[in-house]
Amino acid sequence: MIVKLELSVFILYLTLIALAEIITSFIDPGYGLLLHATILVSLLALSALWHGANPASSLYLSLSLAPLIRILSLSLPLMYFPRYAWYTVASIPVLAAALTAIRVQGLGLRDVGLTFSKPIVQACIALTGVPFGVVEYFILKPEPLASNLPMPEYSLLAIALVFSTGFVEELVFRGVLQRSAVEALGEKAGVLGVTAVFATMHVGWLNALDVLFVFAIGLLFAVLTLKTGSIVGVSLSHGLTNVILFLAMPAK
Amino acid sequence: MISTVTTTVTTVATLAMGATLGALAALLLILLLSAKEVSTADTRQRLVAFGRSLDVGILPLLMVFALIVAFKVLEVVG
Repeated sequence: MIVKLELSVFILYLTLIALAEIITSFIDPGYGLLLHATILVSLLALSALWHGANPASSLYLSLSLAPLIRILSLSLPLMYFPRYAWYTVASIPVLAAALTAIRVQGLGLRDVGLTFSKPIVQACIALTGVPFGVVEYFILKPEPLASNLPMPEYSLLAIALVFSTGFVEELVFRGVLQRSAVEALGEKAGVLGVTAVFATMHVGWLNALDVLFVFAIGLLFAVLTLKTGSIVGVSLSHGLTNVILFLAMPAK
Repeated sequence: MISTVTTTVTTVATLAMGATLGALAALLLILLLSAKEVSTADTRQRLVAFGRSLDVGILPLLMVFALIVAFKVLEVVG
């Protein structure tokens, strides 16, 4: 069996990203950041080397968003903000990076799944976030994100959470990265590869069961995005999962 | 101490560690800006493409850098 060069390079970078996440979480965030930075620069250089009609160029450019997410989240001065604002603050530069990647690749909004086709199907997909949130709560048991907030602020926080964690992450992983991975590696390898990257980025929770759970959910989101051609439903589901996980369940 | 508080986008380091990580990110930003300057000075297709792809890292890192500087200024002034 001939393994495509693009797939081999992708697996190499997946391993490096996993290593950088392990170093960040278990050894030293500084060394983790340095490895992530090296991965980022080399992926951008690879993307330029493959520049032209080859879809691998887009794949490596899109994959550079993964180490970039960790570099940004580690270097942002989040400790100056209240805990409930961390999500929104962290998502803004990540969104800027995703939009820049979309612009550099010359993609349109529809290309990255920003389409409202099949609204009833998307609404059904969105509702899956409720059971996912409950299950993940029992896996992680996180501290409540905020307590004693008045209802209007609580609702605003929930909306911010849906946007900053649901929409932004789905835009990066399913909208930008999965699109180029499927194009360069094929459906099966592209979906599995991007889901593995997504799960790897959750190593920081220090919970192996959660990484497995996130892999399963990521795989489902990936298939749903592939089938519907839209990230709207999975973004809402992802956001709702986090609202249940960080706001609703801990407040009970 | 480091904690990831949400799915993938938020990781928070302590105040002391945050300064080191912020400095490393600033160094990376300088590296990317220098590479952009060099690559856009050339007309070869691959270097031009490299210069364009560097924007993916430069823009968000500039935002982080601006935020770090703003808080440092506030610390000094306040």
